[in-house]
Amino acid sequence: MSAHLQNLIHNFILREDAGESDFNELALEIFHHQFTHNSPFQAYCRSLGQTPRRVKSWMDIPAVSINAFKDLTLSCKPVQECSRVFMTSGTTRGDMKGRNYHVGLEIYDLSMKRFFEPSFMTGLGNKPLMATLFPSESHMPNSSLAHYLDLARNEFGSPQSRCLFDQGVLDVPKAIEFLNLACKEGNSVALLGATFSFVHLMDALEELRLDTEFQLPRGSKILDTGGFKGQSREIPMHVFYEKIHHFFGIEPQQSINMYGMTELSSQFYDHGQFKTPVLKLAPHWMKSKTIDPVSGETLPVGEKGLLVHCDLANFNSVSCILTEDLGIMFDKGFQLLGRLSGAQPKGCSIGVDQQHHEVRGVS
Amino acid sequence: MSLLNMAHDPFKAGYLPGLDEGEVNWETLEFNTHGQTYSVQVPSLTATQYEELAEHVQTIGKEQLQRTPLADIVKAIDQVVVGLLDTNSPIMKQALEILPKVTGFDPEMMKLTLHSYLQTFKLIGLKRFLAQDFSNPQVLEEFVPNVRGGFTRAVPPSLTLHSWSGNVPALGLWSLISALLVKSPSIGKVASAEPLFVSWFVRLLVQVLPQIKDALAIVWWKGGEHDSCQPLLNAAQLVLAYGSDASLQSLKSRLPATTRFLGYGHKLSFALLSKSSMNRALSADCVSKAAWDVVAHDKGGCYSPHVFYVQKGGAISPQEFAQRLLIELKTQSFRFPSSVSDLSEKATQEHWLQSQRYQAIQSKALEVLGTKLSTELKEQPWVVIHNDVVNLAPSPSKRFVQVVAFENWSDVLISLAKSRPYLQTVGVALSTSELSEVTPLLAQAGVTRITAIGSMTAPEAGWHHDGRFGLADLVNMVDLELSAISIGDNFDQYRI
Repeated sequence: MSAHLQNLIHNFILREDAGESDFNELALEIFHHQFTHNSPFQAYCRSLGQTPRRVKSWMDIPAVSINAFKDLTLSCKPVQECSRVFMTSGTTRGDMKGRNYHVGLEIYDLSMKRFFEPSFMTGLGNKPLMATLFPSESHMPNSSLAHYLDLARNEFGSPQSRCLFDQGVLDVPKAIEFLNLACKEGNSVALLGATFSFVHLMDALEELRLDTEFQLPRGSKILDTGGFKGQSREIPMHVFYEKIHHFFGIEPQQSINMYGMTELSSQFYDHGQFKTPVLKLAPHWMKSKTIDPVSGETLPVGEKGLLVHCDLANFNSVSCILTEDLGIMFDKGFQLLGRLSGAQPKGCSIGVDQQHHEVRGVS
Repeated sequence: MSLLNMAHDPFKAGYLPGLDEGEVNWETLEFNTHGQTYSVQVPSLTATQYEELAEHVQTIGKEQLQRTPLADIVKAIDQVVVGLLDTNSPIMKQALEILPKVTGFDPEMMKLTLHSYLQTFKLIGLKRFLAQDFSNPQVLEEFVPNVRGGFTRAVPPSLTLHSWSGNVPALGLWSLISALLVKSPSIGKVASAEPLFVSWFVRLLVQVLPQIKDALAIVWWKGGEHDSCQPLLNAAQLVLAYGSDASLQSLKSRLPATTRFLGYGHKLSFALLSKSSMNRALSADCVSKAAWDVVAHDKGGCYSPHVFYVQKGGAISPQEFAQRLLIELKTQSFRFPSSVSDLSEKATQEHWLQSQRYQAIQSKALEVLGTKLSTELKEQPWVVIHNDVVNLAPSPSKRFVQVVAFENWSDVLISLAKSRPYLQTVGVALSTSELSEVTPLLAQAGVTRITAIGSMTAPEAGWHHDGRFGLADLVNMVDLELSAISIGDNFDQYRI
């Protein structure tokens, strides 16, 4: 069953002409599969009175809170048969980490490559020099971001491309060596990493008074992801992109922000930080909506709500995810308004997540 | 009482003696409730204006307070409060019309909770505040003999800064009145969520007692933005602050090392009901009181219950209690609908609820009671029952509560240990013998207030908020020791 479904998903991802009804059809088939083989998910759907017989559109599929990836084992295949598990880095409850089990990474990798190319590689030339600012996959085997970045570098970068982290920390001399090489080369290059890794790199360069030393060749791009949630220091995103411009000469329209999560198998990208609102766009195998969290009702385009994503590549766990991110839907994509910081209590009553304060980092 | 009137625009917050209001920059806070938008003007001062204000209040205001007998201050507060207790008075009518619009609280619930809160500050309550901390309140006005043979006087801070949170309407009155009772000039910073009531109160008070009109000021700045108010933070001798741990930490880090800081951080309160209270005849009353403790202030106070520990073995089981509590919460929610949650609050509620549901899928010992939003109610009550694991954890605000079944006190006490720094109020339904058995254990566990169920949100006048002294903590006691008097005898001109 799973092989057949994977085949369908594989073909769907490769299609160029998939319409709304094709998406819906496959989404319902995947829901049926997950309902049948993922017993905690089935129990959850039943507690809401939802079954494959009643669900007629991807919009009706029960969206599972990302917390469920901590509380439940959400996998259609027995976990011992899954080759990989990606885990969230943050935790609210002791060692409870969100876990997304993958049978294999064929679909994950296909999804990543298929959408990464048009979203980020445009204008970069074939196999540009690339550097990643995040621990490598061998150092963090359970991090989806480590896998994603290594995949990007290995598949799309030149052979001289490298990871600028060593043993889990930023290797500053190595980064300087890379930036020297990049500036000399003359062809556009790409820097990819967690938002906060860029801050670390810029801090290090500033300390060495090298903040304007490395103006990268024209057309160079950066890809950052994760933002500042859970970090000791937070800077507004527009200031971050101004700093990127100052340090590396990369224009805001060449700065792409990727939005992804451990609980999904596909990613969203924007088209640079120059239009307002900056919209996050999805590939044709992923759809989003915003809901009113309490009534569960889908909100109209233009209204602020909680984001729900339906990712057909996420076939082994659950495809519809209720995030902790607020956003506004537009026709082409959505504007991300930031991550929920827990209901901020207005005063001295304790908030749900305050006693053991949640630290969600990049994962 | 008809003398009192809202001479000022009721939608304008703040009170700034010594400053020309025309030179002050006013910002507009917008409140969206019930599909309508209301604007409130709040003052946004520059660093120089904060400096001038602090100087004015701690010099002129201080002299005014020193000259005014404590009895006059007490009488004036009482006069204002009694005026506000009359819900038919034009002022209170106006207040009760405006406050629900700003806070989103249900008007009827607002009226009841505000009324019971204001009762605390009538003459008799104010005397309790004083008697609680000072065996001889005269100590606030002059040196009085102490038991050691010397003399003692309570000296107030020359300037107290209050930073209030907005979770409970009119919250600021408590500390403002406390500071007045020890005759300390005060500058209070109102919260964006409820900037009005304290502003009105101060304006009414200075109408009644104009001789202290420069001893109080009400300001506002956006939470967390301390840049321009730094001169005020530098000038205050004592800072009283309410809010989350993070906001207290951030404020504290801006204060000079010598400034005294009293922080009231977030708290976790709960209720404890024994099997002797779970009998057929009396439990209905307990259920109704339990629901009121949740409904009052939309479970947003530090004293509001997050968990009801219910003992197994009574005629009413914890499950039945939970079911009744759900029904009672629904009933009371018809009478006192909750305020509307904003998006992030709603999202937190939904994620919490889902998390409970997932746990219920895995364990039969946990049940989630409630139904999805109905059209009649703004906020549907939800009760989660834990039949197995005795645990204390916060639940979202409004109408989300947990019922935890237990057998032995020891299980409850063990579950409190990890929350020790956060514990505050326990609402009890216990027999007196159970009470005498459990009270010392609760006190040791870190609880600071034990009250009857149904009274959790209405602390007594003079209570030890978070275990501290309400008035005594504000002052410095200055001792004139016997030896100084004795040695003085030697130097008197008339000695023989």
